[in-house]
Amino acid sequence: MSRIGVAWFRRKGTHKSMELELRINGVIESLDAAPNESLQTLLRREGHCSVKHGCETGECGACTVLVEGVPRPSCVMLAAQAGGCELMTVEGLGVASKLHPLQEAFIEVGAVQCGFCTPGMLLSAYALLKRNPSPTKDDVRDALSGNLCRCGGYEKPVQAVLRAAAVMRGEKVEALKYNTINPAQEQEVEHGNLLPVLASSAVASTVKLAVANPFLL
Amino acid sequence: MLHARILPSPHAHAVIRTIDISEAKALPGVYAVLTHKDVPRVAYSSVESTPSATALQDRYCLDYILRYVGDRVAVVVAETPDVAEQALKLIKVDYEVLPAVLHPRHALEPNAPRLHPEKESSGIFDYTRNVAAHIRADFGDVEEGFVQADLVVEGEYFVSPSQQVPLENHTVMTYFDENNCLVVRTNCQAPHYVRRALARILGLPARRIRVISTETSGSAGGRQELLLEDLCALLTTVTRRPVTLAYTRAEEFSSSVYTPHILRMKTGVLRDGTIIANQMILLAGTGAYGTHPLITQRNSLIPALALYPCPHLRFGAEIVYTNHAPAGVFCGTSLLQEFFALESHIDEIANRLGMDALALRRKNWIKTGDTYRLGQDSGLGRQDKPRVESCGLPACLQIVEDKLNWAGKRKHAAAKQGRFRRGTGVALAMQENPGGQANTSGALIKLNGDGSFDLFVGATDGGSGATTMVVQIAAEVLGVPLTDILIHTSETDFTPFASSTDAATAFYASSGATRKVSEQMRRQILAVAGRMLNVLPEALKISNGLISGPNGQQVMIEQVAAYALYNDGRQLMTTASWKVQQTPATFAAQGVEVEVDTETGNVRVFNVITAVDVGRAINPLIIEGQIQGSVAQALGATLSEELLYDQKGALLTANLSDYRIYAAPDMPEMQVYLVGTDDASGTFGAKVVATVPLYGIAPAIANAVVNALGIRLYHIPLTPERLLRAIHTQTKKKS
Repeated sequence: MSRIGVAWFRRKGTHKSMELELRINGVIESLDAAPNESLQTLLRREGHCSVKHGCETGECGACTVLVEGVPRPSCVMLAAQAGGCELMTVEGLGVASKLHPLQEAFIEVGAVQCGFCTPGMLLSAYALLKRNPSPTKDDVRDALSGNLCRCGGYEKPVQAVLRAAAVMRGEKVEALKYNTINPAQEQEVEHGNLLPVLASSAVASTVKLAVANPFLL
Repeated sequence: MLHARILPSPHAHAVIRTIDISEAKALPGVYAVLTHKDVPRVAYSSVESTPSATALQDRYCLDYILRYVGDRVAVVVAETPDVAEQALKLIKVDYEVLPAVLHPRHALEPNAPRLHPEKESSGIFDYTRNVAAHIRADFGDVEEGFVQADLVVEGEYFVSPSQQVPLENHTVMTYFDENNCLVVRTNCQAPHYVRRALARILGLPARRIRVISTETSGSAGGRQELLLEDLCALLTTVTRRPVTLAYTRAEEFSSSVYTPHILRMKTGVLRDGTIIANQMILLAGTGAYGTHPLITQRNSLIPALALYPCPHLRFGAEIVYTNHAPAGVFCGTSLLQEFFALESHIDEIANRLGMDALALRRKNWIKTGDTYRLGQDSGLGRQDKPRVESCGLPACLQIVEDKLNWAGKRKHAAAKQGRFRRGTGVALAMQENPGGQANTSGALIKLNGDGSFDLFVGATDGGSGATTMVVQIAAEVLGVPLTDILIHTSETDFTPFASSTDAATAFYASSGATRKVSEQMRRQILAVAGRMLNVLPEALKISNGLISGPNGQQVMIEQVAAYALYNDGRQLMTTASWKVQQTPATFAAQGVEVEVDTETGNVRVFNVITAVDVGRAINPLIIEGQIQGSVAQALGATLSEELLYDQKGALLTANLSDYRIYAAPDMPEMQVYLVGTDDASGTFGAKVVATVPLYGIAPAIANAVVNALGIRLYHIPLTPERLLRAIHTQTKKKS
């Protein structure tokens, strides 16, 4: 779809609109918003498609955005409420060429399965580590309690956050181990080979989630 | 871009007497309003089923009969979602409300209303009794077996309805591209089926329809259906504009669900614990339309009973219509329900015989070399019965037994008093997809001038990591780094056909096709390299993208590609198809430790041990994540997830607070063990493990509760209310 598609999104119909000034990922933007528009709709319309749509009631956490550093569900927040605020989405956390340690840890540990809950988790984790650089496992679980995940079982994201916290404190982290019992040894399958593809497909999802793309629904 | 909204039925069962859309159409900003009078009356099924003349087709884009609260009455498309929402309120409908069937047992009653009396539908087993499908599979003669048994144990088990809860709601966008082809962007994972179905429903040639399965959230198996694509496509053909149609979370809860199941077990055993006859009869609702997995995938999965082969087996299922949201695909069809019944029942039998629960299982379970006794009779139409090529159950159960400290924990069963009581429980699970439907996939590969490969495979990855593993297989065969392979999937325009009714067989099919096509490509590369180096192709090896000969000659794949392109004048490329002949069986043993609060009825799971027979773990990172995810889902299904309806059939739990899935703080400590076995039937011995860890959790928890309290619950989810009721009943009995 060409640029014309983006223009269609901007057509107002019969609603009046207001002008809002927001600082999104460090960039001050002046945007038109309808009075009844949610922050989620505004952000996605402006290309920040890492903000996902999972429910309309602020229960799943897929739409998490940091507003003044606090994780908030953007689907139940009016765009107008964010006027004059500092917002952060995953697009501002890191880019493919320079990932944030949290993003790297998520990829390394295999915490990104479908990736839909990942942007929300990353932001919740980022906010946690800002206020508590040495969280316990329970602290991490608590911080992620508002981010629902249906693929993964939460174990790996928690592991990833603890790992990233250690890296950010400047500590060394151990290599990952799996409980593999009596693997068939006909052909050597080096586990080291896993990382590039996993990384590329997981980075592809996290990066896709992090990079503005008007095609993404 | 226009936005569409569906007008949902407020009644569980009704007929539209009149429908007036004039006011809605006149609203400024509304582009079209469609009712059953405006759409072609073509019967279809939202789920692809076994290709046959008797395929069940009972659904229409828009119908005048409404069969559940939330069923489609009409659809509106407008400039903005708000205008569409307003227009919905202006549609005037006069309903004739009919009595509704709200429980599978009621569907079979002689005076029950008929949900599908229409003539245009086909493939329904018996519409007069609301029976969508009737399944019987026999091995030997169970009645004879029961006569010969020393002890016959019966039990009835219930599983409440639940929902897949994919994190991303179903979303479709349709438009006409510059070639006047209808493009359908959807997060459905069966693009080829959607294309075929749309061609029929819309009357458009399939070649003018492109279906793109986008990257989508994990679907828990729920995305193999045509749910919104037909309406969205219709609106685009009517308006000639791009249209987007998506479910809200509340609508998603009513879109396709996991219906209630009632299972009756009857087992005949000898005094020494040998099972000689085993029968499972199940009654399940399919909701308003015949989409239950046992109807559509009947031939693709071996039933749970096969875990304990014995001389006499019977599996029967009656799938009936009810006025609820239609059944959708869930991971593993009805195996979660079946194993809950089977593995709870086995513990009951052990209890009656005074035998250890693990010993009883070990005495009767399936072993390597056994054949599947029920496979043939389930209608697979195979000449030879498939065999179990590898079975890791012994190793898996041993691990669980050790890690749980089974012997030690079970000894303390007698000393249980006080408010909090602990218990341990174990269950086994198995999944085998015999490939009776001959799932196929195709693959195409071409070598580019820079030494990279484009691999086109008919496969979709719903976050399962399947595409990563397929790339690993290609890289393994070709001898190149993973980053040299670019994979393309899920677009009907350029990815080969894949018949995917479930993710497991889809993986076996696509990995087989990938392996074959990679082997062909490897031969082409070595043939050219052999000429370049003046060495026999057979003497060459490829490793890390470098081809080397016996005497130190070397050439890079990049150079081979260039040589072929500019010297020979051709690009190296090839295609392959793969038809799945036999797939390996996956097994798991699962153990749990629970603590029951006898005052509140709360069951707290604090330890889960899962040991899975993974064949060869080609990607332990991904597999471990899949297993953990399945355990989380299963915990929800066992303890907290339940769809509740009111007396008129309206859904009460339509948001994520009322319908409770597990969140991070709820998770118990989990241990995952990947047990390797040798199996030639999967590609490189890899087994699909994503679904098998779902099945053992419910029975293991039920068994653990018995160990803790001496009370068996036959109904999941084991909510605190149900547990308290059972405790009070037991206390009353005692006093």
